[in-house]
Amino acid sequence: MNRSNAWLMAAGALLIGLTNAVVLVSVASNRRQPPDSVLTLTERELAPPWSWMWQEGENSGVSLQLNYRVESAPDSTFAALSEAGAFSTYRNFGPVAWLDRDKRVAL
Amino acid sequence: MAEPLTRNKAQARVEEVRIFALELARLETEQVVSLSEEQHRRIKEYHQGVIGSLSDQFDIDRDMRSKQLSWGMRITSLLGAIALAASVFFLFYQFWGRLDTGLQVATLISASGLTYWATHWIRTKDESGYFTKLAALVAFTCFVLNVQMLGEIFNITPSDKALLPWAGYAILLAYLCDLRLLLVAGLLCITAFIAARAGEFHGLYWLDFGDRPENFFPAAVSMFVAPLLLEQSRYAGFAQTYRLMGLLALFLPMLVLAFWGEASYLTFEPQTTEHLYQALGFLTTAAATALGIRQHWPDVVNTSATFFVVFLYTKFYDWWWEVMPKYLFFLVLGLTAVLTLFVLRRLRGSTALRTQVIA
Repeated sequence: MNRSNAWLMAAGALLIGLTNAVVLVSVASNRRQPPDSVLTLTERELAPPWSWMWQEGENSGVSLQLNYRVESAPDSTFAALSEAGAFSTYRNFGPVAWLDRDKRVAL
Repeated sequence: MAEPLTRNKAQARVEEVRIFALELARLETEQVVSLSEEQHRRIKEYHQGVIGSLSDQFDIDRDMRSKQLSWGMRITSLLGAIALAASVFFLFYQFWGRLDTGLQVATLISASGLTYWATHWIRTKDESGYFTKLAALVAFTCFVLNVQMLGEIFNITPSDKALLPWAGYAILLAYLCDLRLLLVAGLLCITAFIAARAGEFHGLYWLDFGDRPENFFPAAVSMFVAPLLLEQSRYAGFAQTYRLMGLLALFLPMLVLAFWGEASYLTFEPQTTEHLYQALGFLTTAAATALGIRQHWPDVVNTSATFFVVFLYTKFYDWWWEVMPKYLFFLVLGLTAVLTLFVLRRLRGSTALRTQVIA
């Protein structure tokens, strides 16, 4: 094995170790007590997500999705439907009213 | 300093020997030359020695039959690699819910580490490279799964930063095992990362980077110039892969923008933007074709010429599909193809003539 291959091998092992270390340290730091804020959720807000990918028994993991509704920004795609009353102005998709372009750029 | 001998160069040398033997036989049949028995024997012994020495160093095809079998093995190893990678992916999902968090994390990290080690071990044993390709793709899948699943387990906000280690790992495995498939995977990750960053710079959420096709242009330029800045001669086909990916990242968004002006960052009227990108499409594909001919890059010539024709055909569709009878529309397309063939043949003729003059 030549020297450049040995370097590449070491770099690969380092990459695996470093990536996992960064993720796990970030997780540990994020979960440090006490929490910044606490939000209590019920079954109404947390529900199992619909999945097209998995058939019965193929995914043993359990995941939950956060159901929310927020005031939406005017959107030309849904304008006609909203006017007809088919869509509420509170939705869980599309652009959000308070998060405009200026706020996104500032973020 | 002489360039290091690679498997592809060794294979090219064997091809030269085979073509020489065929041409010599033809010349003798036509009575252009006549070699003595002794000369024949010496040439044959020399060539057998060359091929034998190359065969000892590399897994090369000694004749046409083994070359055909090699193609079959290449396709089989690619399909096998994809199937094995999918198998690992679904295997983990099938059982991960039954493990506690610590064991999930340990399984993910050890799967990455073990498959990485196994890839190196197989590489040292496998001269052909087919099994190495299988192992490397499984190792890459394990690492992607590793980062992805850690994100799911600990509910980490999806981030474009995950694309960087994936790109780094894929490119590293590609150079280590001489695998273009993983180079493509790595370049796709880098393209997505640069496009996401370009989108974020303009206030887009990173996953929406596809909404603005211009986000892909910085990645396209970077990939196209990379082989000019970094020597790739030791790795067969790598420079072509960089250029091909660069051209695809340039021409595909341009094609989209030529018909969807609203998606552009430019503040012109959408129709003006579309006309601008149509003109740019023709100009860049023509310029890239000329550059490819000049630099002897057949990959660039073929890709650019194909996109030039695609730009032309989509424009024809725009202009004439509604107004022309269908038989006439397709006749115009056919005649354009014939005209293109004439132009390319003429171009090929003049290139061949210039090569003769230089020789």
